[in-house]
Formats: sequence, structure tokens, C-alpha cells
Amino acid sequence: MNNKGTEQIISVYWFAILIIVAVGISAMVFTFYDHPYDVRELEADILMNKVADCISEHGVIKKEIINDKGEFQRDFDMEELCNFNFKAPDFSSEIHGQYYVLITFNDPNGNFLFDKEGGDNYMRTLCFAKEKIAEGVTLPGCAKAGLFAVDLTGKQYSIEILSGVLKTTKNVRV
Amino acid sequence: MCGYNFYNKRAEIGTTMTWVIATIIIVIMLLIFLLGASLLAKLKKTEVAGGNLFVTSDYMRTDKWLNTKTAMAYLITSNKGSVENWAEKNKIDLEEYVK
Amino acid sequence: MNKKGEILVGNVVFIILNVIYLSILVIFLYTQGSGVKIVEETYAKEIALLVDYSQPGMFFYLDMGKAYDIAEERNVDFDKIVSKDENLITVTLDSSNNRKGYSYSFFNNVNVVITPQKEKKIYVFSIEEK
Repeated sequence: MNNKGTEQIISVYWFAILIIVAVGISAMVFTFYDHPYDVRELEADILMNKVADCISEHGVIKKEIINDKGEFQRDFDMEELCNFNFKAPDFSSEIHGQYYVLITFNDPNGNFLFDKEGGDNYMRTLCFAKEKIAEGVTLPGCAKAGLFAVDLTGKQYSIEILSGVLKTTKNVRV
Repeated sequence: MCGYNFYNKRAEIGTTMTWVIATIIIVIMLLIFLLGASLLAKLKKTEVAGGNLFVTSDYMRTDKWLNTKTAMAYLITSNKGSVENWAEKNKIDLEEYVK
Repeated sequence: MNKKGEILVGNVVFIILNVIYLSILVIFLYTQGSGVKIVEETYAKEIALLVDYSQPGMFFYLDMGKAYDIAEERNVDFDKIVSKDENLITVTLDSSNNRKGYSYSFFNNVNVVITPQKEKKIYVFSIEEK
């Protein structure tokens, strides 16, 4: 019996399967490696660390922030005081800034006294939303922590630092 | 003899159907793996596990660094009670930093 | 009765072709992992984050062995792999077709002095006040 015809049809099918599998594996590889590494949370954490360093020196709030009369210096330049450069040349075409810092000064019981923002406050709502929603890759990487400090008059403050890093295009595949 | 040929053609159809079904199963499996690869890619995120960054020195951990500053404030302030209350509320063990 | 089996040439060729196909697939997967784009991105982000974390007076070095191998394949000078412009770190492992490598910015307003050490395949980064 001559089965040659049938074997040739199966061979064509076999190569078609091989091609489908190769295309599928290539697609998987490209999908996986096309995703960038998301380091925004780490970056926001480092930023928060640096802000804490900037605010409190050996447990005492810098006089540029709260002077020796206990008065909050609202207009202090955060970038200058803390030695930051919030310009991100690799995101110059973006509408929004890529960094955000919110320092909230409360009394020891947690009652709000005053706050100071730095960077682009577009991220303020997004970071608060992130706390509630938790997921959302296009939301910024945010970090939040608190510390205790005293001013030069000895008055105590409970301070909350919220930092955010946007940089979506380089950390997320949109 | 003629009737026999009419009724026994099942084997040929079976072979073709096997390959069609196999192709469909392979394509579905590839799509599942593609979805899996996409989900794995989303996990390419550096976690800040317990405030531990990539430094070896323990005191440079983010959470411990901020707590160190709180501990310094605790040492210099006269009203230690409010700092202790705050630390308790935020689950910070000041003893770890001030001993 | 002669039951001696014989090697069918067609089947052998078929198996060999399948093995070649699988080998090509495995090599392809392996090379994707050490692709230029991924290595550039990893190094640029790592350096930028380390600079962010540092303070003036600190220095750190980075093992650039992987980058060295890729750059050598693509005729890129080891000294030109990492560059800095203001607060932007750029890592370039392939400069063909006027490729600009991968850049990532840092927020720490410091001066970074970059010193390549080709013999040891490392880059030394010294952080200074601006």
C-alpha cells in the first residue's frame, strides 16, 4: 500500500506546528524582556531617606525649616536645602515632574500643624490613591514613613514624609 | 463487498481530526504560556523588603535609619513620654536604639 | 523470517532537523537574556540609584564584567561605556547606527567622578559636593 501521500501531508503539518511554536516562544521572550525593571519604589524609598536626613540632624530640625523662635519657614527651598535636583533630563518631554516630596509636621498627638511640598504635586493624589487601590502600574512609586524630631526651642514634632517617583515610561511597559 | 467500502472510512477522517485538535491545543497552550510570561514580566519590580536596600550595613536600612533619628530626638528631649507613646503607636522599639 | 530492523534515513534526518531546531531555539533564548538593552538598563539604573543613596565623600565600584564582554563584541571602548551629563547616567554598549544607550537620571545634587579601570573590568564612582 502506498502511504507516501499521507506522510507528506503530516510533514507539512509538522513544520507548521514548529513554526507556530517558534513564533509563540519568540512572543513570550519579547513580552518578558520588553518589560523594564521597575525601580521606582526603591528610588522613592531612597528619596524619603534623604529627606529625613535633610530635616533632622541628630534629632533636631534644621533652623532653615523651623527657626530658633519655633517659627516654620514656609518658603524654604527644599531642592537647595536638601541638595536635590528634581530635573530629569530623560523625561524632559513629559508634562509632569518626576519627583514629589510631602513633609507633614504634626504635634506629638498627630494633630496637623503645617506641611511643605517639593517637586510636582500632581503625584500627591496618586500616592494617596495608591494606598487605597494598591495596584496600578501607571501610578508612581511611593514611600511613606514617620519620624520624631524636636526644634531648637525643644518643641516636639511627629513628622511624616511621603515621597513619590513617577518615571513611568522607563519603569513600566505602557 | 460494495457495502464494506461505504462504511469503513473512519480511519482517514480520524487522522486529520487528530492534527486539527492537536494544533488547537498547542495554540491554546502557547497563549497560556504567553499570558504567564506577561505576568512574570510584571513581577520585574525591585521590592523594598523590610526597608532593606542594597547596602550591607544594617543601620543603613531605611526603616532603621529613620528610627535612629527618632531615637536621637528621644535622647535630647526632656518630655520622653510623648516620644515613647509615639514609638509605641508606630511599633518602634526605642530600646533597640538607645541602649 | 527476517525481523532485522533497519535505520530509516528519512526518520534520522527528521530527528536531526528537530534537534537543530530546538538548539536554535535554546540559543536564541539564551542570547536574549544577555541582550544589550537589558544589560544597559540594569547598569544605568543600578548606578543612578547608588548615586542617589550616596553622600559626598563616599565612593563605590561596580563590576562591569558583563558590560565589558558585550562592549568588546561590539567594538565599544570600555572607557566610553558609562558617561554622565549633569544628573543623567548613560550606559552604552552598542554605538552602531548612532545608538545612544540607556539613560537614567538621579536626584542627588552631587558631582560624580567616574573612573574606569579596564584591567579589573570595574568602574569606580567617587561622590563629591557640587
